[in-house]
Amino acid sequence: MATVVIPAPPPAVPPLDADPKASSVSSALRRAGSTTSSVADWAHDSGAPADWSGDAAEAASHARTSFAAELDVVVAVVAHVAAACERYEAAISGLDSQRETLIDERAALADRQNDFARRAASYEEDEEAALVSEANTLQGDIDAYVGRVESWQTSLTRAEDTLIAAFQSVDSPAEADQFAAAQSQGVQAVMDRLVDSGTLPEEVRGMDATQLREYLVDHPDVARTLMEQSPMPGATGPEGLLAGLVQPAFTTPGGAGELHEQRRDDARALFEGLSPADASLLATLFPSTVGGLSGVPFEYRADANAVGVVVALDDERANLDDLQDRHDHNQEDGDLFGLNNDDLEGDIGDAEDRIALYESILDNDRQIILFDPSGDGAIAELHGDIGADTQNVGVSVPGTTTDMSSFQGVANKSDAFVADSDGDLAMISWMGGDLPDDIVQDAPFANYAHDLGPSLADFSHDVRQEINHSAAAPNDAQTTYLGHSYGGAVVGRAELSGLDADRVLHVESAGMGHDIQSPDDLPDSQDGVDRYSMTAPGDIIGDIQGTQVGDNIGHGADPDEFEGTIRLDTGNKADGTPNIGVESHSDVFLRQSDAYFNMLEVLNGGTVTTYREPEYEDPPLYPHPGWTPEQTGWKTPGDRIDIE
Amino acid sequence: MRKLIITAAIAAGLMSTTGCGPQEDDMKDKTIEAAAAEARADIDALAALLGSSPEVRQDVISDCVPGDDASGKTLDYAVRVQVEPGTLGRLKTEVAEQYEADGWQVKLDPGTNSVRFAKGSETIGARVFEDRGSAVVSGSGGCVK
Repeated sequence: MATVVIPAPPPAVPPLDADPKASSVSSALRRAGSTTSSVADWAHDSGAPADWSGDAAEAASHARTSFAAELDVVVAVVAHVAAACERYEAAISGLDSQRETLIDERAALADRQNDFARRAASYEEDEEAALVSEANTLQGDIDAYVGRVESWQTSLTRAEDTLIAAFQSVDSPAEADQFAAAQSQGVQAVMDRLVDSGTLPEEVRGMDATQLREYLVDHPDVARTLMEQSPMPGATGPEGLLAGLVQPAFTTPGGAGELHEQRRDDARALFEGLSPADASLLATLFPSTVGGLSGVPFEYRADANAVGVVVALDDERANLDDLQDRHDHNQEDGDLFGLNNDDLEGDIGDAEDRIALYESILDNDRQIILFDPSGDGAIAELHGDIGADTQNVGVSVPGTTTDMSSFQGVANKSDAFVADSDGDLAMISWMGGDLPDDIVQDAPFANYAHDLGPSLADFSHDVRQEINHSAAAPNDAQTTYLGHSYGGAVVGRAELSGLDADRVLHVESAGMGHDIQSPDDLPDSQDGVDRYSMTAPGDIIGDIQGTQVGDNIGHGADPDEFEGTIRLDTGNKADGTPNIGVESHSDVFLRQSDAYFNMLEVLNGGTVTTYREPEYEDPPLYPHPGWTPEQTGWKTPGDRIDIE
Repeated sequence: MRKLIITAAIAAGLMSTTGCGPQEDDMKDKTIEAAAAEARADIDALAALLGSSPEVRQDVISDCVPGDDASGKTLDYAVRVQVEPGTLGRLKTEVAEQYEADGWQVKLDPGTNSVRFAKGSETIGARVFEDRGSAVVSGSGGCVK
């Protein structure tokens, strides 16, 4: 006769002492690291005071160099433990969630166990077999639960041990030096490997990133070789970690997003765990890997992209030579009417513009955080600094006809916004890929925005991470995504992919994005986004806003009428005349015009003027056919409102 | 189909966009260098009225419409100066009154730290950051074709 064994009650879930909200620790560490890094940069960049000379100057310079090197160690160590804290916080957050699930599971099992124990205390013989079976099932469920609790406990212990180990590895000056040296040796080992293999010439061995970059500017062939390098999978140290960030990986269905976010965090941890000098060198040695890699701090992406610009400049100069040769040939090829004489002038002009851009980037150490010269090009530039004074970060997304040859104009406008904000605002000019070349043949189609929207959304998470890891983090710096013309449709499609924005500003925008007709079409992540729009009276784009046909024509709702969007005044040009008509499409950017001023205020979270109704001349008694009234001014004053 | 035609027609209209709008008559005979020199001088003068230790933060001449060589040229110029407490109040009162008397159109932009001035095709804006003791004066000489 079988005996019914009543399973023991399921054990309680162990307590979780750590508070998942303890992120203030890592935030404080990040701020300390950022501040120390700024001081280290200053120490690296500065020599002896200008009016010092002789031994005193030499001693001062030496002392500052030593000081900078020691600060590099501090920066690396603080970044190392901050990253460890962040990984611990992430682990604790997950474990806290798992613990809640286990508690619920235990409660359900306890209820089942109580009920079973009550019924098994007294039963009839014909019930015994069923009770035995039920007991076995219950025991199996309790055992599985206990296994999950043990696994949870193991994960907790591992997270704690990892954190403790990270701190212990650098908790004395000697260990800190050893840690920094090991990291540095790892990067230097990469340099040595590339020299030993003949990829890099012997003369660059031992160069720091600054020296190497100067060398590459004079040796674009070597830069080209570096562009072809990838970190070796299986390598030790920072190279191996970098390789791991770009290795193909299997994920669960839907797990690709999680993996990407994890890699963004890991990339940040890798570069912040190195001294600034080593991080810069690692970026320079693997430029094509690092230049656009999510999570890499922007300054190191810029280091990597400088190498790409060196190569692009070399290519473009060759291209220009070729174009000029062909142009010269066209002048002398004997065609009767010289029909092909001007054929290449446009191409030559574009090549000259690109060369000017690339030279300017290299000469002025411009912060290029995305770069791909192929096709029409992809480029993003940070203007100003994301630092202790930064209260706002704006991202400008241009529209139709923008390509690498015309990017400088977009950059100039961003520079203007930054200059007028005196450190409160950093801007990013973002041309993440191919935009329509032609207003008639290309711009009505949504496929460009379909392609660019998700890229911009992903980039927005890089921007947020950059802010959170900068000295601007305590400022709760706000982000604004400004889409001009077709760029508005790109921003709209980025919202569909979860753009991480505090504010969105549509400027003479093509639309809210294909298939976006109301806020209900956007994901929940966009609920807190404040939206603004401006369209000047008479800008023809106002007539196509809201037009959508089929799967690929048109750009969704009219931004000026989108629910919850505040329409802003475009007002007058700087000369006092209304900024209206076809030309207003670009005139809104004229410095100090009402529209420019409103944009600047949105970007800075200031005070704006809302939409003003245009006032038109009275019709004549007998208007001639085709008569259209001219705008004479503004019927309503608009409201002055504070940007949230 | 009608929407397609409308879209194409409108887009064709947009193709005719040539950037800067009609400028004052005096712009017709100006070179960008001359317009820029005048604007720089006026911006420098206002900056000097507001503060000291001027630093040029931006000085660039570019296409009025980025990438469109035919759209004309325009100056973007910005100067930063160090200022004393009370400069914003002075800008919004005595400086504004002085410029108005000199024939400039003045926009006080209530609620902001800024005042804008315009005369002809020239524009100047000044923003005062009292908390950090600085001001930025910037502007343009207009679009010169």
